[in-house]
Amino acid sequence: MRGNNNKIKNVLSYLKTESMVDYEKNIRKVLSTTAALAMCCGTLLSVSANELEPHEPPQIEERYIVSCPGGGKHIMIGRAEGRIHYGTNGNSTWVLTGTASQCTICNLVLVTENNPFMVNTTHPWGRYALKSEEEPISGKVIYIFTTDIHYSDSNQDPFAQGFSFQIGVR
Amino acid sequence: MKNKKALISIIAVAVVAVIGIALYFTVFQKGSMDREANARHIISLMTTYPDTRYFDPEAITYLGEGVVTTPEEKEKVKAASEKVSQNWEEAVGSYFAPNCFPGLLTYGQAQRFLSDAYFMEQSLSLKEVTLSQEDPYFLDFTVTLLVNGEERQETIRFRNDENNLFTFVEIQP
Repeated sequence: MRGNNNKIKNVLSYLKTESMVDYEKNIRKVLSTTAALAMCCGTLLSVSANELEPHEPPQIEERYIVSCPGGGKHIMIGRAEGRIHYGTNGNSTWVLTGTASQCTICNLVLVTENNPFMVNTTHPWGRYALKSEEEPISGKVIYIFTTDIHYSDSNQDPFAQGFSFQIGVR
Repeated sequence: MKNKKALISIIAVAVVAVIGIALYFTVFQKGSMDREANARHIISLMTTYPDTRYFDPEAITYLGEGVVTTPEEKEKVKAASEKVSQNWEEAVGSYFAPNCFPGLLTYGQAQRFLSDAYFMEQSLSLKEVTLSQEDPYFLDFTVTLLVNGEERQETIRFRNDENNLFTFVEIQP
């Protein structure tokens, strides 16, 4: 019986050639490298996951511009022909003749060079002036004396987008 | 049998009446609205100066730096403005679709030339009006003005509805 075991051992040691030893070594290397990589990736992934976790509730993006003290856009209706004069009453020069409108909520008066009420208009306001008022104005011509004249060359102008022009009677 | 005949004749009369009313409100009334003549009338009022019925210096609101307005002055402006609006409405209000007449004044189109003449102390008259473009829903006019004796051209568009009633008057930029 002991003789048989020795024979088997001899056969196995014979079979364990040099190439088999190399093969085992390679397998060990591959396994150890894979284990090391798995540990690194695990660490990295956990760090990334921590970074992605929401710490604060998401910010809600505003989809309109708050301009009017009443909240939201100025709701403008046509009032009259508007005229802007640079300077003060009694010492001024004419700048432009345009359209006067007024906010139905806060009574802000706006005179624009171009008519913002025109059907399907793509024209920007052009030059314009503003004047705060406390009540609806009644004149058929509105005359503003001011040294504060602005210019808007696009209907995408964020300030201009704070105004909504309503066609109709109120 | 007699009842049946009577019923048929009543139905026939009713159908004819309905058709007649419909024709009146579509074809005949639309035909009576001569939008070109009406537009020319409005243009003539927009360019007749001086005439305090259609442009009254009392109906001007002054705002801004150096302006002080008393409540009495505000009331005067309001009264004069109402009178001007009333005069315009009596003259041309029937040419407009429901609720569209006020826009003639509130969008600053009716008094543009008149107020320019007033503030710049110019003489103003209408030299020529030419229909330059036409569509079932708008008319474009080329208007030649004489301002201080010099010619100036403007384009005015009159938009209208299916009944040839104006909805919008635009001095083109």
